[in-house]
Amino acid sequence: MADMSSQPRKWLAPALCGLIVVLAPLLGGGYPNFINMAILVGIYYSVCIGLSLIFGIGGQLSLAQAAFYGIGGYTSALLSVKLGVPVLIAMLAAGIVSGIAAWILATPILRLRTVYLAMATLAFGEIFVTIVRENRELTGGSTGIVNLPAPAIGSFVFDTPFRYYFLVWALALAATWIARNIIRSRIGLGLRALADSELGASSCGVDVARYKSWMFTIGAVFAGIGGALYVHYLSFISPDSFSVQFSILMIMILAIGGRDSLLGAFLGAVIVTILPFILSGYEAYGPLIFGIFFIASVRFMPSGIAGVLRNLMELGKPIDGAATQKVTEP
Amino acid sequence: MSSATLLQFLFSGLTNGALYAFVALGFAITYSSSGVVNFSQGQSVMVGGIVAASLNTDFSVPVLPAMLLGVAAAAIVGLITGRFLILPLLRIGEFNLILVTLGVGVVCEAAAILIWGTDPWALPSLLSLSPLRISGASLSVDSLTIIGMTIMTLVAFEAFMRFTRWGRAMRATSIDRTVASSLGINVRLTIMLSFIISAAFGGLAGALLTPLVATGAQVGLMMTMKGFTAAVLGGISSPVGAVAGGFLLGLIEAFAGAFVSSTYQNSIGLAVLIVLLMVRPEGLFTFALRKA
Repeated sequence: MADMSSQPRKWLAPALCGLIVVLAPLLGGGYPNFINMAILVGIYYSVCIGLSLIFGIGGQLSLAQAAFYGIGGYTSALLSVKLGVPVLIAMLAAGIVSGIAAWILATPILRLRTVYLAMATLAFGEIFVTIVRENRELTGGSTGIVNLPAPAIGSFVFDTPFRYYFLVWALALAATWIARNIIRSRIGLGLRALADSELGASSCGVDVARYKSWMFTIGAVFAGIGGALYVHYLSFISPDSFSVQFSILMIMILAIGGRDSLLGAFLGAVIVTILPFILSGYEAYGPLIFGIFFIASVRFMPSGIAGVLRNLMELGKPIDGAATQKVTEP
Repeated sequence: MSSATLLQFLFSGLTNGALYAFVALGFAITYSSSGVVNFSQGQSVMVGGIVAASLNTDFSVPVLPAMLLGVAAAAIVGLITGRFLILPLLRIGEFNLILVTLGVGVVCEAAAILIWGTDPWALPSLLSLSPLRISGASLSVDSLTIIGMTIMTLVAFEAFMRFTRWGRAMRATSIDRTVASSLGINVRLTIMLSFIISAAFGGLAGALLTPLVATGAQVGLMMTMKGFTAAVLGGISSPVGAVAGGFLLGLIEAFAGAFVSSTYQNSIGLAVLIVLLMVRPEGLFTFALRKA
């Protein structure tokens, strides 16, 4: 991380990212599905970087991300449809409500470790889906709610995929900036330390419980806003989008792309989005292939594709942490 | 609520409990031998049930052989998981191992959907006898079979663990892998055996349950969660505790469904897990049934 201090690079990376986001639709615009795919990539990416803080860097296997994604989606859908709240404000509220839910859940649940945390968060996700499905008057049950309004700033409505693309990616870049700063801060270092050993980290002055709660909460805020972006993009919401399978998918995206870097979240999101197009005609095999790829990634490249690229380009040492956990068995 | 209705809930709780007990037993076996909590444990229930049902439906295999082949199929999945995924990866750390077993579950489910679709598969009753009537409540022979088989399996398994060479090897491995290995026990084979046995138990539960509830390709994850809840209820490293936990969870769910809300029956079972993990992660019965 020494190169961070050199002045020219400080603004180079964000400027480059912004330029790519602006130019991408012009370059790929000829391909009909490009914009729609880019929107999905942006949403998955935002949700994934939220998860990568607690899972990738902090080494906590949380499978509650779909629930926070869903809490955000439903908050925004209900506020905008039932109360007529402007969509952008509803989206902001979605992030806040998800964050509050995560904050409340964090204190008791994050004391759990490894598989216990995984099972408890999985159970939470399953309960969330049941509650949504059974409260038909409020959420529309399994059929969901249709005709969600599009977000707007004044009279400018994000009602075409092209406009929505810029909304999604503006937020994705903001999320990137926040996550990047967290990862490179003292908190990020503390997280990496607690991924290796909570006892060791706490003896070095890392407030383990508070760091984990914060990362869980920030991840949920990202997921909540991502969920809101997703449902207003489809203009439709139903519990099927927020099942625990989505949480597992997010974990798989991170493991395949590279769970300890933001680039990894991006690469994973790209792969999961374009896989059905690559397999055109054989889409049914997608989940099977993705699952096998996931196992192979955990086995052979713990830092994912991003880690492989990093090693190939020798851009310095990989950010070592949760992803490449030390050998513990004799 | 009449006593017949109560009795009916008791029977339904015991039947589900038997299923959970089998899965929980599987968790206990693999956890003691390898220290791995196998996220794909519930998939063996799906494999056992769906293979038995599809053999019977598509190839007219009689029920009993179909069930046995279902168990065999589940055991093969366990063998593959243990031999090719768990054993080579025992050293990559607990965190990555959990991810691998999670991936095995995803792959099992995806493959099952490709082969069998998402619709549930039904199987006729093993013994076409009329249900027993017990003071107004009815208990189907299939329920009785799965409950009875749970007890018999537990007894047989405990006897196996105590009185056979392989069982003793598995117990030694669960206490200390390194020492067991230095005593000449083939630890790798023992771990593999534990994955085969636990998957076969799951498959047996699936095959026995399918005449009562049709099995779909997507039930595995829920079975994993319920079985894990049962295992945690009873203490994850004790077979007797796991079975007790299974029945207890089945009864909690049945009576929660009766007195609280039938739509939230599943959720209540899962809430038990969350609360239990926070309050007493080492299990309810561990102090009473701690292994010698």
